[in-house]
Amino acid sequence: MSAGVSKPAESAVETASRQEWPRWKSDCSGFVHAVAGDLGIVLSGNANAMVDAMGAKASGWVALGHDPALATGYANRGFFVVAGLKAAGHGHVVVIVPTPPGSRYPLGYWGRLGGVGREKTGINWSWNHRDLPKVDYYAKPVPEVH
Amino acid sequence: MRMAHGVLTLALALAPAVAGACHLVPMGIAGSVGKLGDVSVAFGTADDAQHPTAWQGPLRITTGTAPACTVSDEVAVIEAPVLLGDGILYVPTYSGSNNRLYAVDARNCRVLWRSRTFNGPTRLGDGRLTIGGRPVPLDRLCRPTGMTKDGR
Repeated sequence: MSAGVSKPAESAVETASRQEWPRWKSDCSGFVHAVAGDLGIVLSGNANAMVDAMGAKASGWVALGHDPALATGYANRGFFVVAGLKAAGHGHVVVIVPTPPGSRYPLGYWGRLGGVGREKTGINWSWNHRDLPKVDYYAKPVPEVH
Repeated sequence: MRMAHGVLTLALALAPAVAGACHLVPMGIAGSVGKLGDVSVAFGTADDAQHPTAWQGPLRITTGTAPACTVSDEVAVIEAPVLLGDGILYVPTYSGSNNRLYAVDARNCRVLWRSRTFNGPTRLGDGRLTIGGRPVPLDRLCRPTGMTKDGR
């Protein structure tokens, strides 16, 4: 990098994700809960419960439907964006972080039950192509203290 | 060296016929292609070109000189170890928080069986296949015991 050119500031969501991931890399809902807590947002329960909570009326979350481009837009504007899909047994949730224009998939951080999740990786490595179109996205403004 | 590897592979492939029991062999995967005996598998895009740990699929299988076939795209995201025994390919997959193991007929790409969802690794040790710490009993033809007529 040349002198005088500064790196763009990392978003609060990405900073929190990067810091919490090592501890929660094997627990998707624990990871999202921890990042939300760092940002001053309450989101608890397992992944299925989180999807229900974010989708509830008057929850304070903006429902973005199944639109990954919309999710990327909100994440790039600094919102806390969560991708989630309920499932029998264990659902799954992912934190979406700012993603460069032209990326085919939103980038995310996630934990993975019984394994190891991924950092700042396209979410096509989180769900397969059968499930990916069913994923719901939700956004919430990050409280100003952050 | 290559010849020695070929002899070993052939010996492993013939082992079930000799022993009368299923013998699964892990398939080595270089980049996005795996090969074992006369079975060659293309796994689709890898997560890392140098040190792949997962592949997007869909699986494309070639057996001997037969035309290649493509496995249903439900068999994804794919992880190691992919195992081969008696013409059946065992493929560990995940999507979201759930893992599934699939048994695929390598000759025609038909999904013969799929496990219930589980969490944790697929392992082959001491001749036993386990998923999430639980054994997958196989018959001598390497089919899951109790597999129903439609393979589910």
